Amino acid sequence: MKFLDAFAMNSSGISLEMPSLPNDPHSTKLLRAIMHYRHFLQSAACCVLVLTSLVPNASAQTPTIDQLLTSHLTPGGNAEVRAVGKDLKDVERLWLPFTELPIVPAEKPDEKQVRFQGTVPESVQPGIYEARVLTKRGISARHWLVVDNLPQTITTAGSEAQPSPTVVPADCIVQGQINARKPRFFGVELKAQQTLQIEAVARRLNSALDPVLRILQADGKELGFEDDTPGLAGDAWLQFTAPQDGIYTIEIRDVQYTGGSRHFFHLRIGGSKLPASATQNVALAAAGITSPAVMETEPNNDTSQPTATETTSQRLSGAIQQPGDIDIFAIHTQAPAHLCITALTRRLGSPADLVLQLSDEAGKTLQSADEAGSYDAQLAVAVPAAGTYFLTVKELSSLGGPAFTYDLQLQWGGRTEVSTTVDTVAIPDAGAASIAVAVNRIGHSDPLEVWASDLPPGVVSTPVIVVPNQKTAFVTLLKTDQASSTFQKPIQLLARRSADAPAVPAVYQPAVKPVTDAAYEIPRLSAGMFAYGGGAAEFSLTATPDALSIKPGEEIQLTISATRTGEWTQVIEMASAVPAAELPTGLTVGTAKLEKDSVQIPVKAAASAVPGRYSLSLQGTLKKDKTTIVRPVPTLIIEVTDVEKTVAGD
Amino acid sequence: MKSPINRLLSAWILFAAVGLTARADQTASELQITPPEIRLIGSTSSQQLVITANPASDGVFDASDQASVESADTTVAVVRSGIVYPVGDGTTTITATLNGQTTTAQVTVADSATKPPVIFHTEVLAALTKAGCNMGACHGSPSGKGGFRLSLRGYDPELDLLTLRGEFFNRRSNVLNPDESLLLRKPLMEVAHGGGKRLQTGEPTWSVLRDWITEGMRTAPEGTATLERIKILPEQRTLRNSATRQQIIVQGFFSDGSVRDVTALTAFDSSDEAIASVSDNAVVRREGRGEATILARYLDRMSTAQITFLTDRENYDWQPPADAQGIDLQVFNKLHQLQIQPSELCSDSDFLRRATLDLTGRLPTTQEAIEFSGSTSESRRSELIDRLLSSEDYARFWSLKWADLLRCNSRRLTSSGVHKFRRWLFDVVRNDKPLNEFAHELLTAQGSTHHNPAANYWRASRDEIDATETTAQLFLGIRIQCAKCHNHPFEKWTQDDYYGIAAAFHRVGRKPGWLANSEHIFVKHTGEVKQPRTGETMKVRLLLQGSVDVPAEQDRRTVFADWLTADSNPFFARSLANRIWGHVMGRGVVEPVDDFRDSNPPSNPELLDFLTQEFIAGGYSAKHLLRTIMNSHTYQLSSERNDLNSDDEAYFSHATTRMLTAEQLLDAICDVTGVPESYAGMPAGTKAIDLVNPPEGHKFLQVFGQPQREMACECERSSDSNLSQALQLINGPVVHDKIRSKDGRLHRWIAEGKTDSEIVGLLYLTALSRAPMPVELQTAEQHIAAQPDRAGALEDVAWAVINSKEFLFQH
Repeated sequence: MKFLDAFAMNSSGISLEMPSLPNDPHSTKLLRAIMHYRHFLQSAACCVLVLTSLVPNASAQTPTIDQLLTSHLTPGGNAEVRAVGKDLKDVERLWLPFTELPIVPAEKPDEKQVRFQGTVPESVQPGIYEARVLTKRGISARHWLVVDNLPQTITTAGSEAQPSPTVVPADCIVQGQINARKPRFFGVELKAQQTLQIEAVARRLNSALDPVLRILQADGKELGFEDDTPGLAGDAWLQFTAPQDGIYTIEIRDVQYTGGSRHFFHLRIGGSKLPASATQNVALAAAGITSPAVMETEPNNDTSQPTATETTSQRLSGAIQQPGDIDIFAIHTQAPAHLCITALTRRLGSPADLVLQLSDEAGKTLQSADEAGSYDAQLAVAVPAAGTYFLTVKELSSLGGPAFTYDLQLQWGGRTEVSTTVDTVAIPDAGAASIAVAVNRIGHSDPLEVWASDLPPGVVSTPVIVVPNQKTAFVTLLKTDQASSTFQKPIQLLARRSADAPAVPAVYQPAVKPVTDAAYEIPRLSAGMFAYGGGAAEFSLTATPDALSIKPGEEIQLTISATRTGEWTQVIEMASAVPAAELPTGLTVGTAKLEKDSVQIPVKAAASAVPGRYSLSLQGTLKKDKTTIVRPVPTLIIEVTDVEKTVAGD
Repeated sequence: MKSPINRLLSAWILFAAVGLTARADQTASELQITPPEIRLIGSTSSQQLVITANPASDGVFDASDQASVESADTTVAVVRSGIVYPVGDGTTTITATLNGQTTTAQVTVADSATKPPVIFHTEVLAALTKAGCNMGACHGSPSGKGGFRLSLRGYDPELDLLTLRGEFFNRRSNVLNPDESLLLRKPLMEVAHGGGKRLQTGEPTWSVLRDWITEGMRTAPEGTATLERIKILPEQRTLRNSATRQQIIVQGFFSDGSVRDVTALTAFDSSDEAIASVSDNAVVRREGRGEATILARYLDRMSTAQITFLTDRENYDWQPPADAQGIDLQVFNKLHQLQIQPSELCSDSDFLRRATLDLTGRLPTTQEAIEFSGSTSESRRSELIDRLLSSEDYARFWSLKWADLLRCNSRRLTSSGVHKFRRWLFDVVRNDKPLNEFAHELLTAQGSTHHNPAANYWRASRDEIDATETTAQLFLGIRIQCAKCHNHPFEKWTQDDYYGIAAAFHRVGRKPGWLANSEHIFVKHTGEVKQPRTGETMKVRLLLQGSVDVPAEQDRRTVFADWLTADSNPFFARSLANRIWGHVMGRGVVEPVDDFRDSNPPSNPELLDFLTQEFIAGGYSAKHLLRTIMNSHTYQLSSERNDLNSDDEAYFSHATTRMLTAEQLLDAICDVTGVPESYAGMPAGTKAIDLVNPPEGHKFLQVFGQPQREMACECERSSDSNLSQALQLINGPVVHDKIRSKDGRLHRWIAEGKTDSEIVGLLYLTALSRAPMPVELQTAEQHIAAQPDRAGALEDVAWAVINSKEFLFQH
């Protein structure tokens, strides 16, 4: 009821009737989905899209991970992972970016925990990696685990009494969890002058724990303290040198003394800080950012000593190495062009909040982006002439340090950004699912093509043509007879401006801003989602014909047919998924009530319609009791033909 | 029947005679005229005189009303009722005579035939202020009174000029027949006036207003000299026994270099009417024994004089403590001056309890009490101070004080933010970060409030207005709030000062941080503050120094913080030294500790100077200053008073008793009973002083004045006693439940088989850091013996100890 209450309080007047299924395992999914899309629902433009994902699927199973406990994940080593959560009975394997670990069959299936075993490839670098558990017809949301290079992992509850800590080796990983109001205490035996590094990994694993580390001597006196180490997303790292031989106590707790099953930690004792680079590189690659980067070279604090770049340079990397540091790059262009420079900092784990400034050789500022922009700064500027320009990179608050790294993407001629709030998509049997993709064009207004790639066998998707004024596109995935009844597969959504332009992956951007620590997910750069077979649909829609041709001034009727299952016999309201204002110029799509098996829906091309090839995204909405189901019609291609040509052709 | 005039004359003769008789014991061996040189320009000028007898000795007295003063050349100047008036151009000498002693002053008169016009900005406004017309309760209120609105104490002359000259078709004045002007008739009560009689015909204020109307209510000609400052004379005087009055004068220093007597148009106030009253004609009279500050206000300028009235006390026998130096020297000099005998040194047990509570907020443990009482070390007190200062308990307690003032509450800083900020404050105190660095760091903080908790200063303070008032009160000890809407009515601070400070804080940017619950503070490079009255774009203003230009790219806060924390800053070190002193002494040298103003002077300026210099010399170390204070004889004086200091509340002749703060008291009850309090969201055993946030709905803490941390004012922590407190202690669940708890200390002692006397002894040691006196022990034992329920009787004893003043109070 807490979620329901929260939703009722925050829906800002949007009325969404909810199924009353308190004991249905899918009600949890539904509620979570509502929470997930809560803010998105507040945007009228997106309302229709959201409902697409609210379809309760009678046979889909959505496992939930609360915590992943790893045996000792090390490159080249055997791996055992235990997932603790809910609805885990039908789990088959654990998906990791570098491998899949099969489940270890249990004598007695347990819905709350499962084990996986396998091997971590030798080539995997220590770091934090995405993980999901897969069932026959479901997939969990992202979770995170650590591949580490410390010699052993200890999974223990740990002492909750400071005078009697749980003694652990000085080089190990401790996995555990914090209870409310009760810190955990671990003892480490050290020699005089021995230095110890301790790193709490929690926030980076989406743990609800906001970790605080303390080092205590035997009498309880504090010798070290750390909270929120820059660059660790709220986690803590502490270095300590023992003044004399003895057992020293490491205290780990939540800064607010909260606790619970979601307050888990991966405590690294000894060794150096967990390298962020591996995680960052995985994220950059997933986001399609693979071009070589120009590394800044110091000194480059003024325009007389800039870091040189090539006209072909697409990435610049560096760090604000100390407070007040300024990095200047010389950028060259051979012709006037639109330049977009996008900083990646926070989503790569860097605490830097950049200020970017582009100026010409005379020192005139063309544009600067700082506090008025988003967290990751972005410059979009029309460079007026060929020549050399200087890009100045500063930290907004004049902070700096080794953790203050950045990665800058340079795009000449405009930039295309596509994103989605969808992390997993269920494709019903003999039906279609729709994924909403937000489109942002910077420095250009070209039409785009958005499509899904890496699809499972038997799943098809028609590329969507996104007209210049369109901000949201709907990519539909259709499960054909050739598809397996069950599958789970990572897929990608891609966009491009023309056939020879590079494809841009859609990045995952959760719609919900954090409202509490427990609900908080740190921003990450990640692309890709999972598609899985979602079982039988309540209804599915098809259009006849599936490709249209229309002349300006003409109206044609499109026949929409519904295939219904079970009791889903109610009226289906048919309409365009794309708002009327974002349809191709001159095209309008009517509405219709699909009462039984089929209905016709009018599509009009005004005299002003511009000849060309377009996409139509239609959807049907069915309401039954308190449930609302939205299903897409697979993407239709409509061609507005030139009147004269058609006549000539006739 | 005598006519009123005759009656007045008779009264004057009688008064004069009584005066002469009453002061027969006053002998003048030397006379002095103030000012010694007098320059009168124009026919309307004048000079009030102060005739001082024996100016350089303890026998000094004001002879202004006794000495006869005569002019050597009455064609140049005459003297009437102690005031010199011009007659003709030239130079002459005036001579004052008393008891055969004489003294002279030179008088120069120029332009005596010229009647200068009344100047609105310097005379009319001053007259309106002196008459009280434009005070807040009258026409100076925002909505005025009776349809007539003036700016508060004349802070907006242009508005007043417009109102007086033009409003309602100029119905308030009659230039052709000035005496018919409402502006005069109302305050003379010739017609009904809600404000009563404010003017007397013929007095200077009336003359100024009437002359101004007569002259056509003109504005001042271009180039008219403006007032720069005023000075009150004498600035300081100590008057003994039969010296019961003091004439004062006020000199105005103008932009053309002239110095004029503005006494007649100056308004006066006394800081303590029970000691000294001051009349409209600038005579201070003794009302009681002690020191008072006389505040003179002329236009928007202030000046003060310290007047002390002393009477010899019987049995006063000054026994100066041996080798008094530093703090003690300053305190005892003052006490000797005021004939106040300091108390004896406090006992060791009192000292242990006092020092432990002051530095750590907790009671001494039984072990500490036993060890301290058994110590034979001559330096045991200073050793205790050092030990306490180096403890984490000190950091816990003193970070609480800063958390209160810096508004560390979850409503402002979020639930995790308060933890992070409090921890940062703990480190500041524990590491004894110099307080100038601490202030500088707070004022210039930027970045994530989680990574850099000092930035929470700017999260708690949401705009430049709040930041201005908070910073002024916290680090300057100045309550500058009044100057937001108008020049400060009782102080020198103007709207320009207020908005000039605000200009330093205007460019603070805030945006959501990317860590949960965090905020990002940064410096913007645009944005200006406008003075609302003048519309002027304000530069950064440093008090008493003026406006400064700050380069566009520079953080303006840094300029302000550099000025604030410099050794030369006249406010910062002084206010913090006073604040620290106030926390351990129970009262500031300036009290309230964050209310420095000319009209609220330090009770012992030399002491405050010493503390300030010691604080600076000690590198702004709070620990250093605390160590210095607590090692002083003054700190270690008993709270028991003697006949010669029983009425002293300001000069530190004895320790100031005060009730334990809410957190101290609750922790003390928990310590004595051995039953910890439970707080939502905090680990078991958490003490009240460690709470990062005032807990919601905790009745006990609320009743005893725990602040909600919404203000940067020490006053938010209530120290008032009230009935609810008594009910909590006598009958409240906190005290009762803890005493009765079977897990508590008392019942453990019973279970351990301790005797009655052992338990009573432990109770006293735990609660009061001392053993019970025989009579106390006997009384307790008798009570226990008389009760059928031993445990209940012991609970009664514990209840009585907890409800004793000795337990409840810091002493």
